[in-house]
Amino acid sequence: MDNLPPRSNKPEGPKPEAGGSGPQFGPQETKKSEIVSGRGRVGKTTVANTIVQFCRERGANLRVWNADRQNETHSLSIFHSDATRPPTDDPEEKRLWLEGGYDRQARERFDSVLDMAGGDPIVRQLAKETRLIRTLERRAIMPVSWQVLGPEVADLDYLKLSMDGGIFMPAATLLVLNSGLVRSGRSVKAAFSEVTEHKVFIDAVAQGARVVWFPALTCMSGVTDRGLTFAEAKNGITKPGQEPLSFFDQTRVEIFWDDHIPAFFDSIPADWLPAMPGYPTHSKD
Amino acid sequence: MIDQTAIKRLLTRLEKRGPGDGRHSDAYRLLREQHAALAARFQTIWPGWDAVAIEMAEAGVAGKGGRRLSASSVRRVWKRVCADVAKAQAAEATRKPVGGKFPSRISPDWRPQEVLPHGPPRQGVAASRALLAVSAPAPDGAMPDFPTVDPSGVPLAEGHVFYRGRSMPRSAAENLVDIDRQSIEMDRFK
Repeated sequence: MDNLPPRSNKPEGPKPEAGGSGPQFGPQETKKSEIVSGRGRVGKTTVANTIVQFCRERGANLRVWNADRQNETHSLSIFHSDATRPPTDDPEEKRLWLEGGYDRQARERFDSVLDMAGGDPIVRQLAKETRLIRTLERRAIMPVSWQVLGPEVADLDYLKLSMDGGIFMPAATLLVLNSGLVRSGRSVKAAFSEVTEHKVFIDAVAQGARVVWFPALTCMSGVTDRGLTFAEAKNGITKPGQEPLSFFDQTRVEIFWDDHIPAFFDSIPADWLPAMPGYPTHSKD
Repeated sequence: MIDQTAIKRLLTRLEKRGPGDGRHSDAYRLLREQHAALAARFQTIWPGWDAVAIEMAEAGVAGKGGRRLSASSVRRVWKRVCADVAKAQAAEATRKPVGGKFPSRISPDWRPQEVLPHGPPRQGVAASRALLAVSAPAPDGAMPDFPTVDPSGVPLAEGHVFYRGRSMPRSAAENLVDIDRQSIEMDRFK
């Protein structure tokens, strides 16, 4: 399902919020741009989906930007009907779409979550052309890079490309190790050892990137294949015509959503996350 | 009646071993022989003691008494090897030349350095820890005592420590230790 903005010569960015017209440039609260990237099949959309659900449950005002047009089955647009996508896969249109989104974010003052396609160079290109980090920071938008990594060394390629020549490595960079990609019964530590002992990884950490483990959920595909949110899945809600999750799986989702995911977000500096009323804003460092 | 063949075999083995080797395990001998190459490699890419132990065990190297090597036993042996190598190098450097006195290369103005109480940590010790990229053992949950000098003994920038073969902010090293511990916890509950 596409949420295409009106077609024009210049593709528009994400839709403006109804009636939304925030303050123009000036002294203002910093807004966050959560950019989720990485190689294909490492769980970027799962991580982006989790960020959106977690933050929205806690009252965040954020827009969902789905730049991954290749992922139809588990697309963010399935879970969030307000998610917007670039009109086509054409790099130029994608770039204009993203620029339009940031332009709107700077004017209308909201937080955003961007889900990139596997290995998509769009942000890197924009970073090369426009010194993206500085450009956004001047408009009081703080880019937060979520580099999602699986246990394969090749998963570090995207990180390496972003780091090379300092192209795109914001001060707020998270290396998200997706433990859900480790085969059942295999040691997580052993599975990720090649990645966590790799020079690229260590260099990124030494430069200030922060490492976090994304928790595993054994019945993740049962939830995402049904297009359910985690709150729906743990409460046994299904869509018409769907088989309900077993009550064991409901409990697994409940543990994941109520215990593991809050602990995951707790390990991330709070000032790197979208504003959430009632959520502690001070970094736990 | 003594079996002459067995004695011959024993003598051949002892000859191969060389003096004093009998008290060392295969692991010690291997690490000692390859010390220079391994130390250089550990400085650039740190594979982790688990990986070193697995590789050695797969190569058929056993610990003392033929026991299977673990990460901690390899780490202990490596520390011992480093200490012995340093001792041997120091002994070599101070050995008196035979047959005649060579001119001193030490400046005539040299005086022993004043040793101050509660001074900075001895660089030799810290440097050897840095070379090993291991930290002093820490009680459960506490952070290890990271070296603050590089393997050659040069102090690192303020707030930096030597870990995983390179200098990094202390917070980065602590983050790496944390994720290792968390992965061990995850494995316990798998």
